[in-house]
Amino acid sequence: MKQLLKNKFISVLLICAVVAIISYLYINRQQQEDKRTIVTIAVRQDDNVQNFDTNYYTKWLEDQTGYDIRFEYISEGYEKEYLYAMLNSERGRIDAVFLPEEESLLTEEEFSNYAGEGLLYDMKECMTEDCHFTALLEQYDSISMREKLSEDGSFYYIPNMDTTRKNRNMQVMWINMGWLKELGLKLPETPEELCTVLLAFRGSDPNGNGLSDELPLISCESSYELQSYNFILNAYIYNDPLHGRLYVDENGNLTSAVTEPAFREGLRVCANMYAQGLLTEECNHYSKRQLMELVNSPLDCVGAFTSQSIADMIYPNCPDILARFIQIPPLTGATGEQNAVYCDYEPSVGGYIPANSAHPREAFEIMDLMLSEEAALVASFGEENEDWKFSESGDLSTYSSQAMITTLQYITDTVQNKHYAGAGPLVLSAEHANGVTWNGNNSLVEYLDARAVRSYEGCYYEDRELFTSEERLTYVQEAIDASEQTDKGISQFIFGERDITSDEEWADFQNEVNPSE
Amino acid sequence: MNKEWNMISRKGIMILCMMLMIGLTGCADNGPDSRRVKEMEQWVQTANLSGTESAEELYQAALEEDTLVIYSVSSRVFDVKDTFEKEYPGLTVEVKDIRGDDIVNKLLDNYEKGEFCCDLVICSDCDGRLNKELLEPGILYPYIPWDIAPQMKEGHADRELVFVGEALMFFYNEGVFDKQPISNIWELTEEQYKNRIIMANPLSSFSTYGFCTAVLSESDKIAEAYEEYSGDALVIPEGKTAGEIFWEQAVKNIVFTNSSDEVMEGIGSAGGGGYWIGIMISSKMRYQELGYHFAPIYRLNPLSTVYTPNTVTIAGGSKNVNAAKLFVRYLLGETDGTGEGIVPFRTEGTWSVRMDIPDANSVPLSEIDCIPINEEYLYENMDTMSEFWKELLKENVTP
Repeated sequence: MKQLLKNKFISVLLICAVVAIISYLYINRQQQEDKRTIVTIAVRQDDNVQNFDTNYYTKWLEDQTGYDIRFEYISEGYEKEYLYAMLNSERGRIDAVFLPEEESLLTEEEFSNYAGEGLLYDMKECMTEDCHFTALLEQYDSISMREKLSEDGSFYYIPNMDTTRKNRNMQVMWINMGWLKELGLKLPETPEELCTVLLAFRGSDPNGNGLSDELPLISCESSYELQSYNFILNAYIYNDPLHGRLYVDENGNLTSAVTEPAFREGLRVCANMYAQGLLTEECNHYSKRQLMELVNSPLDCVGAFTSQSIADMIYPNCPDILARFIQIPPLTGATGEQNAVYCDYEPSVGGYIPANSAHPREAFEIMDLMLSEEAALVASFGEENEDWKFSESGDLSTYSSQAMITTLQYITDTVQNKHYAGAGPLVLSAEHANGVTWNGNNSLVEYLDARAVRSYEGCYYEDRELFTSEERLTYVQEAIDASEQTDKGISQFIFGERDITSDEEWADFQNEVNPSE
Repeated sequence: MNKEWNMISRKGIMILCMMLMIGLTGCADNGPDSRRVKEMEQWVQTANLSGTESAEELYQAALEEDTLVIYSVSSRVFDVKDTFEKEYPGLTVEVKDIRGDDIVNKLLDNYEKGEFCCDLVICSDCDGRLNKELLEPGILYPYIPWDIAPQMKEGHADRELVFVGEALMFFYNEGVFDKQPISNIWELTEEQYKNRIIMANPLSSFSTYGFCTAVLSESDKIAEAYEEYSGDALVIPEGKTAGEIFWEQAVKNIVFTNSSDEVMEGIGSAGGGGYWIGIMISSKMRYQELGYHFAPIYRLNPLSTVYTPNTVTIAGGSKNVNAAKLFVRYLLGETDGTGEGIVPFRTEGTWSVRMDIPDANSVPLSEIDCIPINEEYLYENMDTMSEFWKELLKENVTP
């Protein structure tokens, strides 16, 4: 009996000790958590992200930094108002803002104004020699990247930058393969052949609904890549609107292409296409979203369009519409001109810190960490060994080069809780961004883009490096700054507001764009 | 007391062990595998795959069902979907256009999880996996419409139902050559073809894998072709075959890509990179109408072509089995072969599987240096073949 009591006593003691240890650990953890700095980030809700707070990437960032990250959602439909009010609100409510990928909620001008008004935190104070942000500035062509990201030596945002090869190519022309097949036509290889195809599109009811509702070639003024006439002009002379439409003449000098006879000939062809109803003006002032609705319409009324990525115009979850369009390589002009426009990487605002942030250094630390390779891999592909793994040698990427990343669960463009669907600071190395294996889905937009871009890469302008050389940078920048007038004139000639056949009007245009000559 | 304590402990342990055993036995009885087998047995009974329903009866029954989900390696099924939905108003079809290897993996995964979200599978069986891993274990089932069966060519409606005959073959770039530039397969190992040949990665393209392995399985013919090409007998080191030597040499000239679409663009489009020779699926010949400038190599010593028929099978557990049966009938051109569903597959580079429908390709298989695919051989040697190709690709993929 005594022994039994003794055993029971020891058991009770043991249980008490275990309970005490657990309580101690729990309380201690609670205290530690209470002491953790809370960093509040404003972000726009995304249908593809289940929950920013419970997101795997959030947990990963919290583990790495020791901060508690909380999110506040930017009011939908009132984004600009929210962002402005937040910058002027009382101190400490929001520590950082993450903007969505590719769809900037702020214009460059607005952002610059906020910086000028002192509403944004200058991250220069936090930047050290060994931080990821500094490394980024050194990694990508130090002159232009510093130029692009800094404002008079200050840094007001951490970038988000797409480093895929697709993003190096300004525009691709996509044509309705269903209509070509229906009418027994071939893929056009020259501007003349394109005209023939578009004429057939316009007059032969290829969508078979008995209505004359076909839009042979659409164009939109909202960005250079959506202006389909830029694609056609490249069959006449190198037409690079991103670099002030400069080209290298026979003497090796950088010269404006728009004053050349070949450019005028290209404009004449485009104007003629407009006059015949082949190049439609009606969507010229549409937003990208409106244009997208048109291309995705079940009415099947678009014959051809240009965009950088096919996903810019067709929803990634519409395989039947994606299968309808196929890329056509750059057209070849009568003199053999066949050009594609190569882009520099263009960083957009990934995240910034309001000047009234209560924890600017902590916010910077988080955003700087997001620029690390490890973070960029999580932000792009999710959890290692769960959603992706490093590829074995011999695997092929979508670009048919040696793959670096094998996706185990493809979570791009799907609802997931592993990353922020591209929002916030994010710069994945080009090696990884272009080294992702194909998942076998023929409608995967990354795969379609990779196929398209490879038929353009061989047509990049040979002398393009001159545009970014230190020696010519100022000259190129001046041409870019003056391009508004040029763009306007080009549009007027094509859409019939000015007469391209009139020598007088052409001379006026030349004076407008090149007053010194 | 110590004894009493020990007794209690022993009894406790015994009870625990018994509970564990009962639990484990219960688990074994109701394990997912056996449960799934029972589910399949029940499904097969209700699916009535040997039934003699007419198209109209199937249509009426299909109207009560949900969207038909198809996993397909062929994008032409989108065209079939469009006309099918017009022909049978009220029925909807969702097509998932994915690679053969991924189809097999997806179906195995679905089966394991008990998620029967696919109804119909359109795929070629170029490494025997479709047959061995899906048909034999009862994950996929052939459905051969009773009134179409008598019209099927021999060997096309046995274990699997073949609905179109295709082939993996050599093509040349007509923008570079006026006529076929090679007559012997060994010419592809010559220095002038360095980076001029393009083909899909055999480890990710089902049909290319079938082609590569078929070449390996025909080592005697490859060796004979070498002798005719060089005048000397091929020296084959111990432990190697002539097929392996051929691929080891040819692969140095080959640029690998992901799919036949990219091969077609590589040898046939204005911006494709100007490759001279491509190895791809014959059905891409339909793109010649769009202006892609490539031509098939029908005659080549010892072979130019490996026949890779495309099959259609119903996924076990399909919830829309009537719609699936109706789609199969439609795909085969209905009873008399005049249905719209077969039209997208009647293009150059395809051969008819029905006796009452002529081949779409202008050259019959009998006039082509073609060998059939040997699924048994492929499946039995799958690991060796995969290892062989992995090693080759490691050294030869574009960095």
